[in-house]
Amino acid sequence: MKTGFHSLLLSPALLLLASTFAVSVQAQEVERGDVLIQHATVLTVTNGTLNDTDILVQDGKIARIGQGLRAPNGVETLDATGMYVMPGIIDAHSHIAISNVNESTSPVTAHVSVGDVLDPYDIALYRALAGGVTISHVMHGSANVIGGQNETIKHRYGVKDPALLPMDGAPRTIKFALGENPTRVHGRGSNIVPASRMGVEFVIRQAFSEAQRYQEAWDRYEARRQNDARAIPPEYNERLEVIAAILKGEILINCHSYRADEILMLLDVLRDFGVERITFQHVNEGFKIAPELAAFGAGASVFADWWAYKFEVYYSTAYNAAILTRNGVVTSINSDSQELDRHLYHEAAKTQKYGDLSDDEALALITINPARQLGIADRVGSIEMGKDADLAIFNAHPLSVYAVAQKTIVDGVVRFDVQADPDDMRLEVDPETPVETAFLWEGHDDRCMEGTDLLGFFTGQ
Amino acid sequence: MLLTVLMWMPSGAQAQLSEDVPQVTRTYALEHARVVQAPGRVLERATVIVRDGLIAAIGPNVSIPFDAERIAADSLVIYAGFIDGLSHAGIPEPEQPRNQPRPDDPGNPPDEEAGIQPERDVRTLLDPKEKSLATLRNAGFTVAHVVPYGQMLPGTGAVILLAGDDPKALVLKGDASLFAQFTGARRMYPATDMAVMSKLRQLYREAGRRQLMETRYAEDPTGLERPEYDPAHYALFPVLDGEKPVYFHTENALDLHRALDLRQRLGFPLVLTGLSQSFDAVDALKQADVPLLLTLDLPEAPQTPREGQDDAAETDSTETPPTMGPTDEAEELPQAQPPDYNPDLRTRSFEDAEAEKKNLEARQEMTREQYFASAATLHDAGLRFGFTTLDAKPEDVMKNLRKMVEHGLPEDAALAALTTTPAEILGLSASLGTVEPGKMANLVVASGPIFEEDTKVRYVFIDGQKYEPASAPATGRRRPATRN
Amino acid sequence: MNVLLIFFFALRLVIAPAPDDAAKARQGVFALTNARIVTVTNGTLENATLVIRNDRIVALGTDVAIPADAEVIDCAGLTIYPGLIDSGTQLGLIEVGSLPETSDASEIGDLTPQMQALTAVNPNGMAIPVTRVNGVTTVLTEPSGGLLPGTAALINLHGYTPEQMHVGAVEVVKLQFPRTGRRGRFDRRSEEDVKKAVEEAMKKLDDTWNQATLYARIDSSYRANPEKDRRPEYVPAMIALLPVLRGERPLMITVDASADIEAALKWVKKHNIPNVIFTGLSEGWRVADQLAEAGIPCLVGPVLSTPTRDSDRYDKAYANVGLMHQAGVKVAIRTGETENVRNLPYHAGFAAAYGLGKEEALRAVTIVPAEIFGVSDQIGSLEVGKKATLFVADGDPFETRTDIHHLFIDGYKLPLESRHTQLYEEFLHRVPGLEKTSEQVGERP
Repeated sequence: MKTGFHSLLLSPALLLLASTFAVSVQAQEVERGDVLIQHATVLTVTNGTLNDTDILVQDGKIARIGQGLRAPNGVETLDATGMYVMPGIIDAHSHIAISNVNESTSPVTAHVSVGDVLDPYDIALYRALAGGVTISHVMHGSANVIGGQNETIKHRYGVKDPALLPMDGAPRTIKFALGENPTRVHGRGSNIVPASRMGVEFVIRQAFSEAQRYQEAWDRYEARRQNDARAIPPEYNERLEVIAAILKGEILINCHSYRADEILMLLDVLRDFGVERITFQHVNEGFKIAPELAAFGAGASVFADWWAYKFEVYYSTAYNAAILTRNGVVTSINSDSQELDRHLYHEAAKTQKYGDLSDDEALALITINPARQLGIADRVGSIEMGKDADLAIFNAHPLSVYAVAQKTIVDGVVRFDVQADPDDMRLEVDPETPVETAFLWEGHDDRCMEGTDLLGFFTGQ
Repeated sequence: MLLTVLMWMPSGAQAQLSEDVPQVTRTYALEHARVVQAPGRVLERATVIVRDGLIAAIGPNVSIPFDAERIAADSLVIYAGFIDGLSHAGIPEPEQPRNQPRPDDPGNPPDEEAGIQPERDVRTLLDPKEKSLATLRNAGFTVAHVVPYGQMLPGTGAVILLAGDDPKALVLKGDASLFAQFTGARRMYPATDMAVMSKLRQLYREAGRRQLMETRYAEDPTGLERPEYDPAHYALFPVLDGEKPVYFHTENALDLHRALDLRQRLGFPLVLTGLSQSFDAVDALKQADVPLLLTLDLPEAPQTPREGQDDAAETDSTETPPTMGPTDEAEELPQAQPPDYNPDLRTRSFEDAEAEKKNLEARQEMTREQYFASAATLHDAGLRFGFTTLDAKPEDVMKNLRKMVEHGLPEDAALAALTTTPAEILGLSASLGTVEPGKMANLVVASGPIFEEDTKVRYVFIDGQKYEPASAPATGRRRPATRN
Repeated sequence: MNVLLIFFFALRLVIAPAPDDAAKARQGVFALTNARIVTVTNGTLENATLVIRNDRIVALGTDVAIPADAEVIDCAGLTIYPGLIDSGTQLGLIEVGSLPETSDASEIGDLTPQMQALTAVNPNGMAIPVTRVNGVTTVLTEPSGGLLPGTAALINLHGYTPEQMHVGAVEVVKLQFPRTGRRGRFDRRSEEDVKKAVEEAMKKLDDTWNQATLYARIDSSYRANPEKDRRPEYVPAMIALLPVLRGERPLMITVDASADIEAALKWVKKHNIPNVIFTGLSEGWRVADQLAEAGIPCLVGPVLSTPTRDSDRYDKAYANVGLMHQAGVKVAIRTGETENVRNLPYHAGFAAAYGLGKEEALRAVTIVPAEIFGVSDQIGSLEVGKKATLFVADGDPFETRTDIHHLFIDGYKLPLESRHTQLYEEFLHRVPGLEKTSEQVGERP
């Protein structure tokens, strides 16, 4: 059905629906497209704003940026006069498109990975596209001190094979969580360590120490094996193997955290074990220790204005992102919500109200900064030649509340088109539930604690 | 004298033998039937001789043994007994433990509590009086590959006959498989699907290490640490050696991808079962090239709770399923024309609400038909498969089979999926799957072509023993099956 | 010497610290000059003046005399708007969402219309200043949980007692209509279970209403002719419903799924409820014609929510309000929020962008809710004689880059401070910064 050469004349939605009902014959390859976008106001984020500029996309990459470009044979042109093109938005904290969020049965579950349970059918992928999002860092929940591994995925909505969602080459990442969530789930819920922030630190130190010993045992075995044919390997333990990889710098830590003191605690622990990179998530009190975060080189991925839903976020300020930015911390704004991820451009714009960030500074919070935090800044996050063609086209400046996304492009393929897409964009239909069943909005839907009610206690938010 | 009496009895009106009445022969002659020896191989007006548990002879002019009970089968059709590729038949469903105490360490629970029991042998769980045996039998099944109930690794499966006096008598082939499914533990590790996958990887790799330890220790224990026996890991050794297949049950397309991902990473022999929604993953199945067992469960139209003014779904169907038991589910009326679905419909305001509802219902109906056509889709892609009743209600099996045929599965392919293919998958083609002399006498004798609506199952032969489906659901009354 | 003294005094008057620096509310006489004034009900004025005396707007226009005792605030380049009204929140009732000790929005029992939200409001709640600095001056705060959770109240976001905050004595009794809608995507109850739950709830509702009607008759009878040693039974829930049955107090019905809205319309008609408001209405657009016909005013929102069905167009929740308005329904916008009611202007902005239009969106958070709650003589627009509840901004309040420069509630000029701004000031450039820490870094083991 789909070939490497994607034609924009055919509504992607019709192709999608055709593929729903035909036997899918797609190649096990990521689809890449070509297009020439003309006469747009290009918000490059890293190189200022270019007026009346064209972008040529070839084979899913930004091939050229300039004025008066011509389309090679067979490449569709898109007239973007009066429109704004920005880099595809990157949501650094999300729980969409995964079948499980929390394996909340133990405080340390480094061996599980949400990448094993990706769900390309999730309509949230499409709705985020409709708000300009092209990449989501989908994460394990925050029930455990050391949670599972996350996955950086591209919103290639329309594919049904989960293997086609991950962004190839994106570094591995893992979820940590400090504070009220793990102490509530494990301490108060199961009566096992941690029940306090003291316990949280201990769990991390213990896990790191055990992983070091595990690595040492395997290193000794590898050495011995050279000379001894009868050497038996040590017991295999995937959990410790993953943590050992963290210590070697092969997996990036993303830590759910709120209070200033617990953030400082983790920085100390990382220094003790020689881990140099970390991005804190939510980090509502990050503003209190912005200088320390900047000195370590830690990143911060924050909400625009969520606060007061738990005690550890009671002393928050919506100026968090601005304070962190002004103090030199690489800051991003994330959604942690399948409602918010539809308007991250608006969330970023709030920093102009709460802290007077400039247009480029505000846009950086949802483009190049999360890209840097995720280790993919060489590929995405700004409009530069050679980068992936992940682009969002709006009918007004995206920092305006009135901006409406027109098209969203992933790897050069139009995955959202406000004109051409039909209303019903589902990839699968439940054959048995009555069609008029309404699922009501219950407010503040962060899935960070989803699945913890397995252990049978009040989860709160 | 005996012969006269036997010949005098009206054919097709064999009364059910009351309890305690002894059986007088194990030889049967099914005369002048249409015999479908295998898909595409039909003998008209042939007689099948069953003797001592085997098919002794088939032909238009075979001699009738002196001790045969003769059954006039002029209008009847004989098929090889159906084989259920994966089922829980014969195993009593365990009670759900209420108020399970919270485990001390939910992150590291004992294997049995977490549902990790690959060593559990289904043969120890069989109960020949279990109702499901009779219900499956009444649908024409003679053999089933059964596995225990449980969570992610419920245990080891066995191929059984769907009738017998005692558990031992049921077993055809033991230790046949390892059963796996994406069912997490409750309130302990591994609870989620991703944890199940992780646990499987961990078990498999560590089992490899322990197998190595065992081997080395057996060769020469000097200087080596003693390997500790642990049933879960040890039960995986034959899987590691490629000798025992893992039957992995899936309930949707994502499960399918995940099971294949595990196989790709670990390399165990795999049989994929369930395959609901497999129409979304045909390519992956073709590439995987593993044996397949398709579920006989199909979705049903929703019962709309509101006053059904226009709901065709609520009207009782004209078709009557064969007598397996009462069916309450609403049947869909066969559509005169394909549903009117507009993929590009825009619902702009309240004015479009009615049209939207109809459109959504049309799309949902098309989706149900996709499920009905799953078997045809797999067939058209060149994939061979057997069937499993694991998720299906036995009363619905014939109805669903016929629906699959209606939606494009050729009858021969359907028959193959019921007989020759599962026999092959289970490694029992030498004795099962076709109606040929020398093979086990497992037969379905139907009142007509099996895929036609009004056809009823008259007799089922299992291991040369005759069974008659009761008109009422089986009550568990013992069959007159006294053998020497 | 005298000349010098006079000079110094004059200088002091000119360079005296601006009154805004004072961190307290104050009332008095203010003249906001050179302003653009968006009155909402009488168009927009340019280069105009608005005069506040005590709690009222006493003058408004392009040709207005500035009183001698007025504090003049030059609003050149700025725009004056009426304070925004959020017609559905739980502001002031819940301090920290996950701590039940701090949550007073929900009481035990299904039939508790007598529970008063007003007196449970914490006037010193942290979220109140946080909200008003964005221009939201007035909110309806409502209880939740159960069939008849209690009585909601309209409050201004300023005052030290609930009575000081209460606007126009507005109280509405809330009814959570039995819902077929699923509570979020993980409510996987069977169809039969949902149907059964709704039937039971409907029966309870009808029974309650029948009893309430009877009680009202008994009460009326008693008032007409009081017996000496006997009174109607003390049934607090029924007592609380008396004003609703008599049309003296509105019944606000929470209803979202379209099937539920239709059922609610039937129910209202059957029981002849005199004064009804609907709230929620996430699928209101589907039955907008019926709502328009019934003439029931609607408090719609949250706008920033996900569509109720996966098959819905992605922007349906944003477009909902606009579609209802187009069909002729009287619509106000609500956020349903507790600590982020401050985002009301953005709910309105999205509604505007997806079909409602800027003008109607502004009306939906000003004059329309004022009318629906019966206080349009006091608030909801800028007119002489109305309360001075307004703010002065440097642009469109629905845009995030807009800043608010001045805020008045009931004529009190309020400092534009909240915990959030205070933390900003303290931590933008923290003292000490990194220096003190770096001394100690070397000491760590």
